[in-house]
Amino acid sequence: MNRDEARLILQSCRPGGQDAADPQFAGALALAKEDAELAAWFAKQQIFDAQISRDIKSLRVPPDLKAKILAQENPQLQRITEPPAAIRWRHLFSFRSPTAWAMAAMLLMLLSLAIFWNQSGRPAHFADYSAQMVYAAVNDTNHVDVENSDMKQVVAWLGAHHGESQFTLPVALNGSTGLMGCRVLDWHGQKVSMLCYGLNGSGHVDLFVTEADIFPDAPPVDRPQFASSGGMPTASWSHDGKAYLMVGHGNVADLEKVLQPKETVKSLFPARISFKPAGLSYFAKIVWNKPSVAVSNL
Amino acid sequence: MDEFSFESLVNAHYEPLYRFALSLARSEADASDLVQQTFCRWAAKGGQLRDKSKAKSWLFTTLHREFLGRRRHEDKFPKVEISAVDESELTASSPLSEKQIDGASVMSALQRLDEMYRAPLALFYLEEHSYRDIAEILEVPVGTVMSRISRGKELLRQIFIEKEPR
Repeated sequence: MNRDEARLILQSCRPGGQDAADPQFAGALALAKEDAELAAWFAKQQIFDAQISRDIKSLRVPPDLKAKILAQENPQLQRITEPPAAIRWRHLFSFRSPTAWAMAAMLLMLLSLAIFWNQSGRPAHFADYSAQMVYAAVNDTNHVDVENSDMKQVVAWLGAHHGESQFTLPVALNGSTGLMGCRVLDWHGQKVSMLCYGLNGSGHVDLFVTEADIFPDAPPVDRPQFASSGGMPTASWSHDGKAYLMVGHGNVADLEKVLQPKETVKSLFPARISFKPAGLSYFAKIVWNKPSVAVSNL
Repeated sequence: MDEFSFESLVNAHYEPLYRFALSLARSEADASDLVQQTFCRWAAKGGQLRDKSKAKSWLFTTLHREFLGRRRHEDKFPKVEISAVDESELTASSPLSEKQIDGASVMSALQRLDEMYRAPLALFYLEEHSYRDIAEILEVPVGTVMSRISRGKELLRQIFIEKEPR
């Protein structure tokens, strides 16, 4: 063993002396006893290491962390870890308290009003939907339910989870290129499918698909409308009874690129992807649209 | 109390686990989350571990895997907050002599290292594990751990030297 090899080995020797008996270090330590320069280097190393080690071990751990961990195992302890304010609020809303009954009655009344208002035909405007989907695209912690780049598997998953699984995609989003995952969302009881893409040249783009007839103001058929919602560029259109909303994480030009691909690509025409159950599994069938379908601007 | 009961394990390991998590995750909230998630996994699956003496390694390995899983997800779906500021940029402007090194500045220096060096170095300095255990936890060969500790220390020294007042 030469000095360099000994140095490499001794670098992994903990400063607290825990490795003194490890045979791996015996040869290097023996060499250090004979080699004054190596011994001096090792002594300096151990001082440096001991200081770093001491400093790291002195780092403060959040005082409530232990209680939080223990509460995971024992739900009874959860009560102890709750802040005192929460306990006070719980006492305030004890069912022995008249305040609690009054609050409950008020909540029930508000709930009834909300249900009545919702069922009395309040239309779900596309702008509300758009704002909600943009929020989901940007703010939700779980951006997608599944990460998968295989279009067949993604559409099968959407179908199996009651999302929209029959839709027509713009050419640039057809196939699996750039596909990163998907998600099923709920909008006033209507399922919405979301496809997430990371596209070369256009960046991160999310496409939301749902039934068009739930909106009194569904976007125009086959003519994308570009807008901005919550500071994010959007494009929306309808096709074959579905409403499409595309949310970009860059600028509107990125969306235009997605929807107006190069001529060579454009000539392929969009593909219709449909899936139907075959026993427990699903299979994909891609049917190319005829040129006569007026979706050439997609 | 049973040495391997949930509470005993928490008492024995939650602090070093948190410090390891902090070196990886770079924020207290994420580090706490990683530690809680690790013990949550122990509560669900720890019973399946035949050799209970491996509980400590199991906890550190699980935490490291959890971190890698989250990082992969964040790489795909990066979250950028407008108020996010690189802490290393802030600390770089305040010179620090070696005598003044404390836990926070060591952690800040560690966090400037690539994760490849950060994880073995943090485990080494926590002194809870031998280099062989570290190799097992990080699921890399022993030789790789040794060279990463050695290289990581050099880089760490350089960071401290850069911080020294001129």
